Amino acid sequence: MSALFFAVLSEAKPWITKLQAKPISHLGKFRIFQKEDHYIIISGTGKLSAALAVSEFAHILPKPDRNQMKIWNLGIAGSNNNELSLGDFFWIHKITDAATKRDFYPDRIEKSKFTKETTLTTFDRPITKNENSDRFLFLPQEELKGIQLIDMEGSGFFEAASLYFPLENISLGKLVSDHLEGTFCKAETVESMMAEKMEGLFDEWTSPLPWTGIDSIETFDWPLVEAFIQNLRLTETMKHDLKKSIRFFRLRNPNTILPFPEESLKIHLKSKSDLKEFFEQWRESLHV
Amino acid sequence: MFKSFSHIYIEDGIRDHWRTKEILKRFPNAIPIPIRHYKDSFNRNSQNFRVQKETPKLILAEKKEHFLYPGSDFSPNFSHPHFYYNTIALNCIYDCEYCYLQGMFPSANLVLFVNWEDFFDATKEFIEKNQSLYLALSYDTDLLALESFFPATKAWLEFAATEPRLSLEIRTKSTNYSQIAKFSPNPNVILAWTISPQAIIETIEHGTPPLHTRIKVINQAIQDGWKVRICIDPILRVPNWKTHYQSLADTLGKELKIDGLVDISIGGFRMNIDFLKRMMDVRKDSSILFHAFEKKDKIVSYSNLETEEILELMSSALHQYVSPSEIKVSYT
Ligand code: SF4
Repeated sequence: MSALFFAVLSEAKPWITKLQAKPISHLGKFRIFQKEDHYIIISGTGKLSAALAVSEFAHILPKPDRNQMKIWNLGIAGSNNNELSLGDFFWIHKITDAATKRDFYPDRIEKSKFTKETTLTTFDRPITKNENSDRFLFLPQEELKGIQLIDMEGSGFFEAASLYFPLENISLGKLVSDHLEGTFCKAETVESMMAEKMEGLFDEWTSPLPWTGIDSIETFDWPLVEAFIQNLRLTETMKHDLKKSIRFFRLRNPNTILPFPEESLKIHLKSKSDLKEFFEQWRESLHV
Repeated sequence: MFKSFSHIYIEDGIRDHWRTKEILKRFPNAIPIPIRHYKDSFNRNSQNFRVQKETPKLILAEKKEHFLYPGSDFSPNFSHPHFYYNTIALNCIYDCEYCYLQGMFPSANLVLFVNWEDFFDATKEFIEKNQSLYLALSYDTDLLALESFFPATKAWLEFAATEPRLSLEIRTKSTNYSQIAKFSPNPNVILAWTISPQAIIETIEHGTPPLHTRIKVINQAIQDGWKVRICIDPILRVPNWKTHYQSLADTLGKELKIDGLVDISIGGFRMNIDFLKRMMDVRKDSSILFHAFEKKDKIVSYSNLETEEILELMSSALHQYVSPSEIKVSYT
């Protein structure tokens, strides 16, 4: 499963086409495209929009799905560093929110064909290093010192994503689109830059996370146990302890049938102490 | 997945520290990431210890306070009035299934503090005040295992040579003895090797050196004149544990220069209950954590009967080769 967040449609277009994703109908505000287990979400610009889009998307998925989901934000970014070429792609290992001064650290865990990494600073307005631009916020060189890439979504995306998705599933990647000259990129330019990088990234995005897998005890053993105990009045603590014992048994005896008490014994359980004894004996049989 | 230490987080305050530069030289391909405070990364919520352990990163930092901690009740104090430990590094390159670090720390990344001089100063100050100190060197890691890029053990041996009122215990599973072999043995320093049956090393103490290579370096250390302690701790009730531990005792009897040992410390598995709960969450595939433990106060351990059985078996197996006075029970 994977989800990919973009600020604007021009960034998303090549991906939507390649995936052959279709818009899903839902009650929310944001556009979500889907093909099987893969989703593309367009948030609009700004960190608040990015955060809201993550939140809206997270609410349409159950938690077990979210835990298995790779969640990416890709997009264009301006660069203050002239050594970074236009069209270069970078994974982000640190995000600074310029307004709050908070730092976030996306973990770099999976290797990628794209090996370059850098830091990202998220501003609330588009930034330029040229004076005399009325639609951009002008920042003098000393304030831009040390800043590599600049966007308007990264911190909002990451902060929201880390509330709903496991940290290790979240990645951000940015394409250098300009050097803060104070002009907006044309949609066609963004689209073609993104299309070029997508060729290398698509398989990485759609491949499952290497660390997610099924827990055979939760999936196979525990449902059997739950069916067996459903008419017994076990407390939550007892269920919890039973699950631990089941796990112990399964780990020690991977190929053996799980021992259950005789079904007929259940009808003799008249009192709480009967139940307790029955329960303890069962657990003992699991700790062999 | 990235290899170990593919990325190194570096606190701004120690970016130019000479020791930081030395460590970075050992990892020329690592990607440096500037960081304000190590806790900004290390203490984040909902990190996945298991995933991080597959691809651990380094975090280089400065320790600003707490250079000495009083020894915990779980650890033997070997009857010393001032038993403390320090934490020059957090987390370990090995991956033992029973390791409490995975229940204690939110992250599996390795924090290395580079301001050793502050640890030395605090230690000196303590000794001035209290006249003696028994210090376990960095409990929250295996320090000697890091020696090739974080040579703190050497530095502490040098420091201990100038502080006769300081006794050190350096506990390890590593076979990095060669890194410190050139030092003359210091009678105030105990090198303590934790050992386990080979079957447990292979299945539970992931990444640690095999038993026979541990025995080899232990023998070397004894021969060189070091005080050496053997720790068979925690003893684990794995399937066929009796056979495994009996055979461990026999191997020691045959292959180890037992006469040169200070003592053998033995103890059953025990754990702070909150740590164990978290460990069971992150390590659902380790049967040893799902034993039906007994709880007493905040500690879980094998039942009294099980513990007695373990200690009885281990001590009588060892008595064939070692005098009873040399066997110390670290926890009952
Ligand atoms: S060697 Fe010690 S510190 Fe390292 S993982 Fe094993 S138990 Fe933990």
